Amino acid sequence: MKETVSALYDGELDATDMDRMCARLKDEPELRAAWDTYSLIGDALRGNAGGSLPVAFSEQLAAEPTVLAPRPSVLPVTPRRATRMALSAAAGIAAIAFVGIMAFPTLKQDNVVPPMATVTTGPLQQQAAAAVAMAQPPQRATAAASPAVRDYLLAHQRFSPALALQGAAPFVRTVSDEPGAGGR
Amino acid sequence: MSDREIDQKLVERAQRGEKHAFDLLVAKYQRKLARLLSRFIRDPAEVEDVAQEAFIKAYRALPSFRGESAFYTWLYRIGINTAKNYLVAMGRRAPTVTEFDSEEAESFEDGEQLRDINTPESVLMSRQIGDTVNEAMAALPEELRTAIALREIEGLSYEEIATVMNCPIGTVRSRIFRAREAIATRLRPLLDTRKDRRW
Repeated sequence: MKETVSALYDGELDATDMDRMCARLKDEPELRAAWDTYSLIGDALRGNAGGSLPVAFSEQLAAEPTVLAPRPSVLPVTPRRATRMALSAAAGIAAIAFVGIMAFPTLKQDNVVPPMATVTTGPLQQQAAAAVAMAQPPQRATAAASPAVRDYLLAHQRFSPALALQGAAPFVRTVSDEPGAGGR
Repeated sequence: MSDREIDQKLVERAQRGEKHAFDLLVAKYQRKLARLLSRFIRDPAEVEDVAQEAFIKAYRALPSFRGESAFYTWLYRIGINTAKNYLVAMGRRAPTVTEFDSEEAESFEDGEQLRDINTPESVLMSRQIGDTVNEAMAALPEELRTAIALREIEGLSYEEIATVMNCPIGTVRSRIFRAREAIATRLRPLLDTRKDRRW
């Protein structure tokens, strides 16, 4: 077993054997003494046999609070890890695209009838349909507003904050909302 | 696994709370650090105190060690800073940056120009250790002597030694171990006379 200590000292063990040997060095004083002696022999061969610390230093070190450091996250980029990273990026882009589509309802057809409204038969369904109708976006309400309100909204539409976000869509809607326009 | 890699593994173990892993590093580098500190602290007792303080500081600072440099390079810097602070606190001149550049840490060798750090008593002890090791080396069969010299003095890996000696790596490993044990057998009676030291 000391031969393994010798190889460990020289850095010639693989990770598995090293783990096993480190555990044994902790529990077996004879192996630990071998490590110390091999270290001294190496230093002596390089002309430096002096300067060993006193035994009392071991007690001083033992009295120190045990340090605990977070594990470094320096994992190598394996093909599997690269695939996972690419999928994560794709999922992120898909999520952004989904939010973008949902945030621009004017890109969809304007005159879509809510599906719930077409299946209202019983009292419960009517209540649900009413709730859905109340939750509709404001532009659907403007379609049913009086001509005076519609004129007001049309006149002030350029001040709407939605204008900056929606590009040409408000203009298209403005033209189509004008009374007498053929494209309604 | 290189020398640096084995140190890194031991550091990682110490960072996970295995104090004995750090103790192995202390055993490995205590004499090298003391030798370094003796370059600018004259009193051997002070060298010993500063070396101990440097190791304790290094242990406390382990969470900040990221392995970007070799462990000894990092320890070297801590040792130099500890020595500077000690000299300033004692009202003595601290070494300048150019005197001790951390760049030389990796290539630092224990040269003749270094001051002997030992007291008369420990001078005798270290001389006895040196003589015993040299005598044991001279008594080794040639293949064992060559193997351990290539490893400890030339710093070659087992693979390189196997190439030089034209033998399998397993044989190199065995020869180095047998050489160490032969030297250790001669050395142990001497070390037993000084049980107050961490050999």
